[in-house]
Order: sequence, then C-alpha cells, then structure tokens
Amino acid sequence: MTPAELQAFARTSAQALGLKLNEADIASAAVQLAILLEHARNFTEFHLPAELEPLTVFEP
Amino acid sequence: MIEIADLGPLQLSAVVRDRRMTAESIARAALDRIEKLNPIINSYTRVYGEDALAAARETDKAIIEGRDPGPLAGATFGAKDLYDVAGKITTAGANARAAAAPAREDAFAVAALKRCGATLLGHQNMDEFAYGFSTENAHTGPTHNPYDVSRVAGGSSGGSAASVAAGLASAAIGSDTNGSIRVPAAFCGIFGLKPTFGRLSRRGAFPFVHSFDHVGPFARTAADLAALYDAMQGSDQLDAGQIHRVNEPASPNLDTTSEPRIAKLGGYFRETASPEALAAVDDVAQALRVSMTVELPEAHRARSAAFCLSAAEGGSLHLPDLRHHLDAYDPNVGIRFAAGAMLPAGLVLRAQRFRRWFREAVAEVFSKVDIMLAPATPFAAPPIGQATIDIGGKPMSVRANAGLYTQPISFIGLPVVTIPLVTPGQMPLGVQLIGPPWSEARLLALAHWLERIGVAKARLPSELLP
Repeated sequence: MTPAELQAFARTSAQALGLKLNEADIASAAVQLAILLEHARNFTEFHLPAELEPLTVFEP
Repeated sequence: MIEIADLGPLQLSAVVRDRRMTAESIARAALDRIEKLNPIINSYTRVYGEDALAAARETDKAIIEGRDPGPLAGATFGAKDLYDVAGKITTAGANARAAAAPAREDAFAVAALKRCGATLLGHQNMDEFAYGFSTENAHTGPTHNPYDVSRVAGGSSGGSAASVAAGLASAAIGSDTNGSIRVPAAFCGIFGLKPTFGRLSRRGAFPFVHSFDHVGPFARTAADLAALYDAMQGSDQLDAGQIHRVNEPASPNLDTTSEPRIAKLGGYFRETASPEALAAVDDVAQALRVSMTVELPEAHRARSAAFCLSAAEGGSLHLPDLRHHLDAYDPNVGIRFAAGAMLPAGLVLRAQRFRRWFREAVAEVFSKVDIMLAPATPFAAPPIGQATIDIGGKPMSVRANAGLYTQPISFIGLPVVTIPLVTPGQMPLGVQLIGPPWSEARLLALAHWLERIGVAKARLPSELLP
C-alpha cells in the first residue's frame, strides 16, 4: 500500500472504530500500520494447511 | 561488615529468623538506600515507607511470638506498577490511570510474597501500559541502568530489574509479554524468570496482551529466583488465564544432577546479534560442553506474528479509552495501540493459526533437546534516548529490536530463565535458558549450576553503587 492508501485506511478504520484522530494522528497511525502490515506479510505468505485451526484459547 | 543491600531474599530471611537483624531494620535500610539512590536510578514511582515498616514489624512480632514468619521473612521486594496493591492506584505507568480507583486487594503475586513474610517497598517504573523495551516513560522519566546510569535499564519491567541490581530491593516482580522480564534482566545483569504461560496467577496484574502476558520474579541469584517462584505458585480459581497444575517447587531440586540435552539456537537467533551477545551464548555453551545447534523453524515469522497479535490484542483492550482519552497516552504508545486496533481480523486469525503451527514445530525440536540457549537481547543496554544501534555496520532500531530474541519464545508460552553474564568493564548481557512447557525447575537448576561454576553472576549492588 502507498502512504496515501495507508492514510486512507487509517482514516476509515478510525471512523469505524470511533476513534477521533486528527491529521497528525492519522499520519502516525499510517506509519504504524505500515510496520504492522510489513510484519503481517511474514506470516501471511507462509503456507498453512487448511485444517490448521487458530490457537484462540492459548495453552502452551 | 554486612552490606544489607547485597543480601538476597534467602539471606535476609536467614538473618531475620536467626534474630541477627530485625525485618524492620532491613526495611529501614532499604528505604534509606531508596531515598539516597532513587533520584539517580528512578526505579521507583511510589515508595510505601510506612506500610513497609508496619509489615516488617509484624514479621518481627511473629518471630518473637514463636510463629512461623514465612520462608521469605524480612526479604524486601518491589512490584512493577501494574500489580494491584490494596489501597493504592495501579497506574500501569500511565497518566491516563492517575485518577483510577485504588485497588481493593493485593494482586495474587503480591499477596503470595507478603504471606511468605516479604516486605513490599513500593511500585516500580515501567513503560506505559508495558508497551516498550526501555522504560523511558514519558510521564515518570527513564529508569537508569545501575551499571551505567547513562544507559537504559530495559523494559518494560525496567524499574523492577534496576531496583534489584542496585540493591533498592532484594527482589522484584515484573511481567513479560514479549520479553519484559528477560530484556531488563539482561540489561541490568540479574536473573529473571518468565514461567510457562498459565503457570502463575496473573490476577491483579494490569493486562497488556491477554494471550501473551506472564508474571515472574527478578533476583540476583538463581536460588533466590527459585524461592520467589515457589512462593508465587498456587492455584487461583479467579484467574481465567491460569492453567491449574499441582505446585512444582524448584528450590528443593536446585542441586539435582541431571544431564539435559542442551543445544544452542542457530539461524535467526545468531543472525543479527552483536559479537558480544553471541560470545555470551558461546561462553555458556562452552562451559556446558554443548556442541549441538538447533533451529526454530520460521522464528522470524513467529516474531512478526507476536508483534501483530500484541498490537491487535493491546489495541482491542485499550479501544474504549483510546476513543475518549487518546491525548492522555504517550503519543508513541497510544497511536501504536490505535493502529493495532485497526488490523483486519483476517490477519489476526492468520497469526493465531500460524501460532499453532509454530508451537507444534517447536515441540518437535524439543524431542531432540531439553534446553536451548539463545541471547536475551541482540545488544547490551544502549544509552538513554538513543534510537538506533550499530550492529555489524548496520543501524538497528533499539525500540523495535530489543525483543528480537524474546518474542518468538513468549509467543508460544515457553518458560525461560535469563542468566546474567558480566565481563569487567563492559555492560552485562543475558542468555536465555529455554525449556519446554513446565520445565521451570530444570531451568532454574541449570542456572544455579552455571552460577556455582562462575559463568553466570550478578554483581553486588554495593560494588555498583556504594
């Protein structure tokens, strides 16, 4: 996503979540989203078997 | 002459039980040292002097009356400022909670240590809402490293680790979500335990990431760490996160001789570490005559998934407050939580599915080894305020990478003991002893052995700060 797309995503998400962010906050949130999405790429690109369920109730 | 600040919980308990000192005199000495050094270290945010002295007098009274004062009688401890203490506000390091209602009762861990006769001295500094690795709190200021006060203590339990290293408490309790016990233990040159997820009750500890949060102790010796861990055990039906098992005391088995299969962690855990951090692991491996190296498959992805889940769970937890009080947060923290709340559910579930895969892949590695060795941090404590650190000619973000080697481990809830390695003239480093679930006693026994042979050692507080 481009910086402009990330800012648009942050703005829409903030609205949906009821967060009142000013333009500086939106810009900062977009930077943080870029970092998170870069990390997310690391595990979303990894093939997981379809039957593998989420570990929602965590037990070691 | 005995330096009270140098004594650990077990030594303090011994002198109090033998009536060579009173718990009150020990508490008073600790409070005096805090008064003298906290302006330099800034490890305490609030000190409860009168309460501490009153509690210590109760311990002395029990001894005079012939009652058992508990196994930690007279030991002093501090609690990270996310633990409830009856009658005090739990700030979690946040201005947003400065006017919160005082806690009605002690957190389970605080109550457990008090029951054992330990004296609570106060609440300790931390990163706001535990979201950080440096304890450079925008509201309460940075905690300074007792080894070099121009450097960070690590975080998020930095106040707790620095207090123990500086002899401002004989012990402390912190919390570890992504490395918040292991990183400050390493930076401050002391022992830290992050137990198996669900081992200890978290009731009364302000949450950060429900599915990663662990509570655990800090101490200057492995035996003290084991004693604290034993005191903190116990089933708590009121803690939804605890996995109920019988108590498995570590202290009686500290001298147990076994020959665990030990391996160094390779690949990801050696790729970006400083030469000093790698040398620390190699020193431990050499002392243990370890020749095997294993890898945790896809550890970099595990770290990324932990990073995203932390942001998403933390963001979800804080969303109601972010809607109304974003301006009360440290800007670096509030916006990160807000961005975490924005992560699409599909990514979060994907991270949880990967988490199951990774847990099973690591379980397979544990069929070949019992204990793994890895650096606790890629580098030693950097100067306060420094944003990047140079590793192998490449600049690396301090804030983002201090937990590089701790995050994949807490991601799947494995127990870890961090041991301190101290080289004269250098900042301390930590090595993680990582085991399969429920292997705390074995890890503590190995830490104790490494201490006995002189490989792991915390310096005496009176040497650091006379």
